[in-house]
Amino acid sequence: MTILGEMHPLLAKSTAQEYTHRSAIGLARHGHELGVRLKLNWNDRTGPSTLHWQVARAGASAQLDFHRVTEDTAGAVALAVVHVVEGWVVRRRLQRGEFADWLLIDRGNGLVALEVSGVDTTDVAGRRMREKIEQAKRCEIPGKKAACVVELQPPRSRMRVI
Amino acid sequence: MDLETLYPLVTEAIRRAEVFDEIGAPGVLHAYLDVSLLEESIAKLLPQSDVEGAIARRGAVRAAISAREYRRAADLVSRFTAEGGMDDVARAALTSLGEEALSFVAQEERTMTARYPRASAQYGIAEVRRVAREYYEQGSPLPIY
Repeated sequence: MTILGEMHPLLAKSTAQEYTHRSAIGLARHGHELGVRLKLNWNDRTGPSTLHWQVARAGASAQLDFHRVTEDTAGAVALAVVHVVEGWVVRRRLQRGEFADWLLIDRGNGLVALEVSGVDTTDVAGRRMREKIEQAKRCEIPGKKAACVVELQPPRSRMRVI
Repeated sequence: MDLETLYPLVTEAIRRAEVFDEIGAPGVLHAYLDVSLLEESIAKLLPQSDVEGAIARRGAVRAAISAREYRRAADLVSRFTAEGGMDDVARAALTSLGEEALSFVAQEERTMTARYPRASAQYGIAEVRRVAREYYEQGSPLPIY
């Protein structure tokens, strides 16, 4: 996640830095250290992966909202994963009402609407994942739809392309 | 400005507006108006028939509603639907947003009529609104004619 800005050139540097900073806080919350193993699940296929980030200074989380940190950590992990696994690149953020958070393009320049959610501990019985899949299905943007849930405690990333 | 400039800006603006919204920050309406203006700028670069052009048009209207700029939202819908070249799904989405904006406009007018019954009876709310807008836009203490 240290090179999120290079992975996604249309993310403003400040936005990428903010995601990276907050993900450092979100992951440190669970005592994870640099190079922690991320349990990666992509359409029920699993694979090994490690997470790297820039450590935030002590006390950096004091002014940040707990849930915002969880969501932004999930966003940072998801955007890093989609780029590494499938080469997807961010076009832009989408507003609420589009039923997805991000518009990306795949390697063939096809559009991908991605909905991301973060859970501080674990997604019990996959409930959040089901909600996010249902939400992404409502997105009317032509092209692929994908839902991703990132669980910070294990840490684990589950992606479902619909 | 081109898309390579506008897309990072709109991404940042949407994030800021949503965070402001979550924490109830006082600048939330301005933040959404920023989003609406950026989406409108994107819409100028992309045709209605382009998927991303349609997203920008919906975004301009949706953010105007979130900014409580209901007349702006309704005006944008009129302008975008007059452009043509839109498929049925995109038209339906914009029309639905336009109806939402107009219902808010009507609600605002009812509130103003109830709050200022004399002015409403004597001049009509539309006239009061026009004078108020001129007063606001000229930036001086009294309307100048």
